[in-house]
Amino acid sequence: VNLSLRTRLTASILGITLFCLLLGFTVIALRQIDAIREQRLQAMSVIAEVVGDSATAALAFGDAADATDVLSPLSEFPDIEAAALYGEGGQLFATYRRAGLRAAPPWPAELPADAPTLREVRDTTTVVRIPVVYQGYAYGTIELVASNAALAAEIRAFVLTLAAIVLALVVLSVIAGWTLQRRITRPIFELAAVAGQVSSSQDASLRARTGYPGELGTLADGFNAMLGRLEARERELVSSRDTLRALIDASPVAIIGIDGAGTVTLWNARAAAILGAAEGDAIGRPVD
Amino acid sequence: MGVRAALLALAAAGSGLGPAWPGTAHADRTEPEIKAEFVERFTRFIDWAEKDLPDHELVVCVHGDSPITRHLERIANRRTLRGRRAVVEAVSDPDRLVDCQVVVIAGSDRRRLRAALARTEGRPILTIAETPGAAAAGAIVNFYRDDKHVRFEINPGAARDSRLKVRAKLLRLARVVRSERGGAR
Repeated sequence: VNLSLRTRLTASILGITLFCLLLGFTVIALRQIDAIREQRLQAMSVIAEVVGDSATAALAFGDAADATDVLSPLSEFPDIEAAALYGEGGQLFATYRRAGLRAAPPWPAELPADAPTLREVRDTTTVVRIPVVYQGYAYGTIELVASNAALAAEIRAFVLTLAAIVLALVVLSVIAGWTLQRRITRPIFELAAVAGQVSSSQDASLRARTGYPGELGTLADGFNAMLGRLEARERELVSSRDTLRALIDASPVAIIGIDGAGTVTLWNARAAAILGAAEGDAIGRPVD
Repeated sequence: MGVRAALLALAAAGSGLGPAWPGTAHADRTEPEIKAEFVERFTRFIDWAEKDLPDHELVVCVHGDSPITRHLERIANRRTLRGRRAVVEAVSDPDRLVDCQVVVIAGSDRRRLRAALARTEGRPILTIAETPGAAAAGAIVNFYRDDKHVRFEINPGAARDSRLKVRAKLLRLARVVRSERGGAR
């Protein structure tokens, strides 16, 4: 029973703590992963805008060689694997492929007129496709494809850090939970031990420790008061029994007590003198 | 876009180079058509001081008989230039060129070129020629052919004298030329 109280308390404290931690962990992780992806998309959109802006004249004057030149600084961004510039009519105009990349994406020769603007984190790549607009004139479309390797590594590192923090918090809460339940259960156990002693030794002079705060203090004080009253009543009982016995023994009349079964239960000194049997011999014998 | 254009675009996709043109493929278009298209594009990448432009229209004059005029008129019907109604005029009298904002000096008549440049020099007029050496002679833009492509040279000094600003994006694409002393001046 003692163990179960401890276990139950510890389990409740831990359960609540774990639930809150995991809930917090999940919410933070989801939000942060979202933020990391959004950041990546924004960075890529900015790159697409800047590169697209530099390509406007090349697109305007159909200078594919210059457009290819404009795309080449993309090698500064190792995540970006490939890029394509489409002209105003949607035809593929210039492309970029990171050195060492085995296969370029299968760019369509012509981008459909209704091809939507893209801003997507896919399984292995992030794709941004935006129109190239300069001074209010549309010159075409730029599309960037970036590998998700760095993004995934960033998310992984974040999740691992968060998991480590949660683990440390769990360990801390186990320790805190154990300490907390001990503070609550120790006085109860002490009280229970005193109660056990009283009932096994019949000793009403024992007392529980006092000075606990709150309900536990009330309980211990009440317990002690009860023991005190019990002790006083016992003392009274003993003294009145002794008085009665002295009166009976001093009586000049023989007094014999017999219970319902005819057995002698009381045998005073005068009875012993008259009947010639000692009290010790008479008690418990049938009367005859 | 025709099959040929699609093939060209495919070729461009393969090499990352080659003639791929906005709108339709370059190979489908004639040289005057491309030049007319370029003239319109120049007005996007070369800036006038706002006070040097009329409020509601922008006059593009073609000096000399050229099919460019027809193509420019077609463009002017579809688009505005610098937010203004485009007016295309064929102008044969060089004295009338001062009322234009863009002057295309067609053909390769050097004498006519010099006469036109003498009228427009120092005024906020974008002069576009198609004569070898015209930029060095004071034209702001001059077309030339490079293999199969229509290309252009730009004289930033002449642009500055005309209070025109050529954007760096455009200069990247151009062969930059300085005025030769004693050219058209």
